[in-house]
Amino acid sequence: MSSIVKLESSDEKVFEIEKDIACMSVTIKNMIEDIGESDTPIPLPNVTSTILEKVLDYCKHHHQHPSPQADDKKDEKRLDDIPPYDRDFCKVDQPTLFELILAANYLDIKPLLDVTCKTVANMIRGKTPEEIRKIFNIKNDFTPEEEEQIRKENEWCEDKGGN
Amino acid sequence: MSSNPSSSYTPWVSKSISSNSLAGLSSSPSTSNRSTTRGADKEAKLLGYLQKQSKSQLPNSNVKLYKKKWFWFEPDTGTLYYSTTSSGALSQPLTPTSLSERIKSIPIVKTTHIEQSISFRLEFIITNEKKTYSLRGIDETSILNWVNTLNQWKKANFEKSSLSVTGSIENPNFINQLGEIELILSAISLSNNNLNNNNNSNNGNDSPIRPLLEKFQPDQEQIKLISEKITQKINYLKSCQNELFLFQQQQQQQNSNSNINNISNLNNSNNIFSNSLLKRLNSSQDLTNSSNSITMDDSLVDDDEDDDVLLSNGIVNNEISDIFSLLPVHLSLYVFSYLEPNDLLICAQVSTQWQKLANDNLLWIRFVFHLITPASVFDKSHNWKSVYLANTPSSKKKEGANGKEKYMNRTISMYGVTPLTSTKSLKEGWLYKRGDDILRIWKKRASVSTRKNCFKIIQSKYMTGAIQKKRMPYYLASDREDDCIEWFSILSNAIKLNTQHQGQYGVVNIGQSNTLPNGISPIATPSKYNQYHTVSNINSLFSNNNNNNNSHSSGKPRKSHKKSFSSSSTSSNNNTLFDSNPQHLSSTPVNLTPIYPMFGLPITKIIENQSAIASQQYLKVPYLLHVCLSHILEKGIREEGIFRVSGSLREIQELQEDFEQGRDIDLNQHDIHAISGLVKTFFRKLPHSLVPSDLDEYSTSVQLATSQTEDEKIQEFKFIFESITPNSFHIFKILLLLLKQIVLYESQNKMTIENLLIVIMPTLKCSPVLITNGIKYYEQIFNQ
Repeated sequence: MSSIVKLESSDEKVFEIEKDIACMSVTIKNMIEDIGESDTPIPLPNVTSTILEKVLDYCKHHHQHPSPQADDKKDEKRLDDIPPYDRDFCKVDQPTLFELILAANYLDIKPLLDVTCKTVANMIRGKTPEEIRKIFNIKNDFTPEEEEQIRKENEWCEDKGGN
Repeated sequence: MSSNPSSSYTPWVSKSISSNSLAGLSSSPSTSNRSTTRGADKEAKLLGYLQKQSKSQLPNSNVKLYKKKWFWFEPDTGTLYYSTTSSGALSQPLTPTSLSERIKSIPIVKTTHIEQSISFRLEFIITNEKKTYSLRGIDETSILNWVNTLNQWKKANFEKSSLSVTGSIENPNFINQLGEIELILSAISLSNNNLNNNNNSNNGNDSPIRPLLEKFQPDQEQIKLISEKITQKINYLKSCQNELFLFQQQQQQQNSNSNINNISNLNNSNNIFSNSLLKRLNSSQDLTNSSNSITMDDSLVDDDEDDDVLLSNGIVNNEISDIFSLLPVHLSLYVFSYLEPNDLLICAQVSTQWQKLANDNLLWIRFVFHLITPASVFDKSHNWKSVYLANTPSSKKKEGANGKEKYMNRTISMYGVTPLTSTKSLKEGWLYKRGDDILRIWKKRASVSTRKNCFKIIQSKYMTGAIQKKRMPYYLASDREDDCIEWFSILSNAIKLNTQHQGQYGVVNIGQSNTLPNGISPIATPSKYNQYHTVSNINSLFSNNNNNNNSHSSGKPRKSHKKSFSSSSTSSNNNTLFDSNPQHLSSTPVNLTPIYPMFGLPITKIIENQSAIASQQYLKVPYLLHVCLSHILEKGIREEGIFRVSGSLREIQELQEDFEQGRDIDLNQHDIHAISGLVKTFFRKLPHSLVPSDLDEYSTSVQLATSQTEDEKIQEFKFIFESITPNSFHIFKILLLLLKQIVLYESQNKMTIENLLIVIMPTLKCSPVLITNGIKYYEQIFNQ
């Protein structure tokens, strides 16, 4: 029997969730361990209700479908191992995705942080600098000289890009 | 009366005007601007979002509910204002209400008590005579700030407010005046409401305060007061509007939004309204047109609502504009850590911020693990990116670019082998020198974890000044046994060659090269040994200690280590490490019968045995432990990784043999880690536990017991240690003394108590609780 934990988002919406699921967040787990269980909602001032809802969806899904953790040490930095649910989960607009990263970081949910960061890394991978700027709306603040200099410094990948 | 009321309000009120008023709030609406205590310390202005405890509660709980509100404190009036709107209430239907109802106040008076909440650090409590407000902030600092400033203000204004109180008592009329004015002012607000409900039919000539004015028949003085009040309010609203206007302009610059015209038009018209109103009020003539001020209020409210939408749009736009700049650096780096080198190089070209991120040393270190030498790990000046780029051949870069090749190369660096030919390509590996003194040996695709097909290079000790330093051995691995043999012979030759040139590094003996021609593989049956120990299968390139062994420097080959883990003695024929006979090279190890067996025997038996030896008969602990532990205590407590670094298994076995054969042993000749390894082996082979299991369990329960004080616990542990056999007690006494000293020097040896427990507990058959507490309370337990 799993008890219910209340979480309060920054905009004061209270979510009720099973303790086991909430404890996927190390932050919440520690809080519960520190203060004991109580009826008071745990305030999460850094997470808005929309994001918290998504995060809880993620936690619920992964609580029900625990992913096998067999070969986790094998190759930590793989980008192509995002499970289908997670891939769909990360199909959100950029602000949401980045808020999810922040929330995952704040709540200390490593799988969620990994999958969101992987999604962003995938957005970067194999692009040219110009494409990256476009995707993330980044201003090119190099002077032409600087740009040339930096291009030279980071040459060999450019060569490959030209091939 | 405040002559410049606009300065006493924060312009940020616009933020809060976004929704309807809320029911159930604990404070009463108040339009009173307490005008008697103005001008204390204008600079002490406080504003920010706080969360105010709300009266309304969830039906089934007694949970505190908070409403986030915009709060600001007015030193002029001594009032804490807040907007009644909650930031999250946008979804509710908006009902325009007058500003005066949107803003509520908490007066800070002489009797007001302000303090941080004791139970909840993010909360502070304001207690007035009748009401208590608990306000919550985002962090404790801001709360303390609020509390301090409010208290300071209270202190500074205490006399003034008491004066004003007496003043008003002397002049009861004054109170009346104020009361009437408040009525009228609230009437303005109310009528404002009514008018809105009547679909803005506010063109009517009948001013809603007209009846009130007629009823109260205010004299000139009072009219002046009212008009001043209204002016104050208008000025305040104007300043709000100006600020709003400015803010919007800023927003618009970013958004190129055309809405600005509307706002500015409204602004102008409002100015006209308020100006005309001002004139009239100041001349204190006709108040009938004061409904104009209501019009103004309405338009302002509408503006604000528009603006709020704009605001949120603006935020969204900002976020889109450069999301990476909003992420904390460590999170950006975490994202980048998923990228391969070529992607990182591209990222470095995106912007200055990205360049900084993508050049971060932490990101690159994982691509250069194979290039890192023990010496370079702690060298902060290393730029791993440049190391990576300099050391990755272009062919490799391409492979890396394809993301298929893993960077699992292994390299070693060896100091003092300069004469080696520079770049020698062999199969998949390279031998080359970098700088003046580094030889790198590369092998492709040797996995990190495997210990198969690997060999070890042991380097000579070298002298810097009078201090002898030991070098760490290097492990090399290759995929296939053939490669390994080939590499091995190349290295042997190289090192042989080297010794001719560089006498100062002593003689490096390569035992295995001798066996190669005889067809005995130096990499003998890997699989057999893998399971036992990590450094099995290692062919040693032994270096001599040139300090002590110049006489042997002609280089006698060493035999390879071919014993299985369980064999308890080796065929080494003399006490010193470097003095083995070449004839033993290919011979199988001979198990000598121990003359003085020490391993695998009960403690009592060992003590009994050694009591027969004259030199050892008074020892209370096994001779081996006595010698080794005192040696480590003397020489090894500052050694990095003492008890953690595993010594050469072969050396340990030789030591064991030396002890059991009763040879003379000079421990200074031996690796300190081999000696610590010997101690661990001794404990591991003990057939019994040092502590009876019941005492062991008891110690755990003592540790867990919460009822006992520390002193009581110490007594319990003392009792436990004294209850075990005297032999064990004495062993613990010297062992824990050593461990205590090691922990004392943890900054140098990097062995914290946790680390120490991890490495030593598996060999000691007792509860870790005993060891930790034994170390912690050593003095009390063992020193009478």
